[in-house]
Amino acid sequence: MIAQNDIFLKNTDMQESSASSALIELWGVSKHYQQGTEIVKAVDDVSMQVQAGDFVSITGRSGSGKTTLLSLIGCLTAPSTGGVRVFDQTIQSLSDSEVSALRAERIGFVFQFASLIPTLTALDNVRLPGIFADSLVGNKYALELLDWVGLSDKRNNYPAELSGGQQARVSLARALANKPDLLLADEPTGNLDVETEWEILSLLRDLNLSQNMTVLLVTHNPELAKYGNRHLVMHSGDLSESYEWLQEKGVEHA
Amino acid sequence: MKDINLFNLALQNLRRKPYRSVAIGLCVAVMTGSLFAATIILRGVQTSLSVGQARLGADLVVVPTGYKAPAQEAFITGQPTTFYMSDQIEAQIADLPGVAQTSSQVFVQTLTNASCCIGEFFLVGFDPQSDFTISPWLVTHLDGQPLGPLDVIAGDRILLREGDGATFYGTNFRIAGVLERTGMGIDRTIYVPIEGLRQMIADSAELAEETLTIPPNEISSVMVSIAPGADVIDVAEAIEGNLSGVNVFTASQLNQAVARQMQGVMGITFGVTATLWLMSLLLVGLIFSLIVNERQRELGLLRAMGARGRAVFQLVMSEAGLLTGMGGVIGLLVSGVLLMSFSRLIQLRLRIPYLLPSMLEIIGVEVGLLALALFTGALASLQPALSISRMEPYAAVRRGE
Repeated sequence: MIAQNDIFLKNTDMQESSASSALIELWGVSKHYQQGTEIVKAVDDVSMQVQAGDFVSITGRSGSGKTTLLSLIGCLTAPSTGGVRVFDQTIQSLSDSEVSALRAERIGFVFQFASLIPTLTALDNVRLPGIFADSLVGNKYALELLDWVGLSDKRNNYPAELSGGQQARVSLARALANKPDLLLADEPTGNLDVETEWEILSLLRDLNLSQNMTVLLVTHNPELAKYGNRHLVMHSGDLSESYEWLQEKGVEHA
Repeated sequence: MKDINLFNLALQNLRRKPYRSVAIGLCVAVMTGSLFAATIILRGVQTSLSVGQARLGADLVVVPTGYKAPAQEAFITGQPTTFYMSDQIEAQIADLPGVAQTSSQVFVQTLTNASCCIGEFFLVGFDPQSDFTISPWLVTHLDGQPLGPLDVIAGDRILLREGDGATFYGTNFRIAGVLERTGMGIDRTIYVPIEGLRQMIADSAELAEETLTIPPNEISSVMVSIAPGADVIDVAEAIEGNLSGVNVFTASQLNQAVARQMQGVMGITFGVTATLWLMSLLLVGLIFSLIVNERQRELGLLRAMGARGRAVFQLVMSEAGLLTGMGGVIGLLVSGVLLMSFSRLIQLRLRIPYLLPSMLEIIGVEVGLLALALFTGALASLQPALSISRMEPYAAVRRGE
């Protein structure tokens, strides 16, 4: 059983620790936006740790801050306050090039609405991240990935010729092109039917179990969230442990 | 795609909206092509004038009063013209101080579609004994043979070659030599020795459909070379002051005449081209702002995949560069082909001397204009490219949703 304070720390004054073994570490992280005259707190004073090999599910209502939290972890945005540490590197201290290199080589993203490049074939979409990393993604490996998601026969099809589920699978294959250590999936099944949803989840679980890849999955579906080894809930910028999950795992809620 | 890289990605992106890409490319093509045509025509005139001025050989040209303008036009464009004055004028000019050499010419009325040649050309009688303006510029001639009365010299654009025969007003002539190309009226002129010309005039009543009526003691112009140390203007004033019924123009006044002729046309051309450039700049800038705006999410996703801000900047700039570069190349090609095909028409319509500049100069202008097209693309897309490359990936993804 995983101790609560190992996986989730809320509203603490935890300080950056270079000795930490966590793959991801957030301390006192907030992200504020100006919306007209109003300041919106998308993420509010969140601290958390994720260990290598974790499969963390994050659920919450629309606008609760799930995507912002994932973007903070994925170094797509900088926190307004607090600190983010990923792969033993404090993000705020890195240059654009260093952060980009980190994203290119160690982090894979799967977004809601597959977001494939419409002018590229499925195969080229999978090869695409290679141009931003040190090593190009070869046709062979890209084909293996497409094969793994069950779409090697669609390699020459353009996104417009693929169904939503197929696009989501190509998007997943693309996220793995640079062999990342961390996979961030933001509602990858958001607009898909139930059957395809489970297919994608099954692929993510396979990655986590067989490759020991750390996976953070944002989903609106609480049923899918149960399949992670951790389940967090976002509510108005706050992050908390899922009560049901704690009960299920027999962990006493603070 | 065989090689996946930023350049190919940019190329693919342009194919996404073919009509928009074609519209931008066309705008840049028109801008580059117009500027190319205007520059080449201007340089063609300058080249022709400098060559023509050197070939004119004379420092001064004396014509009857009132015929300065038509005579200048005849020299510039080869537009045939006829006017006459007494041949005594030549001897009187030769006696004036500062005059080193004189040679007279007789202009014969228009010949259109003669049996030898297509189009309109100018027939000019000259005196091979005193001539110092034509013979030195023969590019080919019958070696070792003196010019006979029926041996004529043709301008480059007459399309007759050495040894060819030609019949004017019923008299048979032989092409003894061809002059180097100047781009000026000389190219459309056939020079006939005065003896042969007089014979042709005399025989025209019997042999030609049209009788020539030029009195034997009349000439059209006197070419004057001034003595070393003499001042051109002084000599010109002396001629006009001492002789009645004549006008004088200098070789440099030919340039001024052309410059006056060109001023309006080139002013309008460059004005229109400058407007086109400004419009291209605004259009490309506006469209690239739209392109970047509508692709914010996609560019943000590239950043999420690890693209550095610089890579996104390069991608947008490459798209602009490709578009304006291709537009530029097309504009230069089309303009080049049109210029080559219609150079004579341009010369006739604009009534200008025109000699295609050297290939090296043309290539230089092409490279310069291609650079201008690329610069236009770079300048126009700089702001949107910088803006998206500096935007946080997350903001780009969210704003583009």
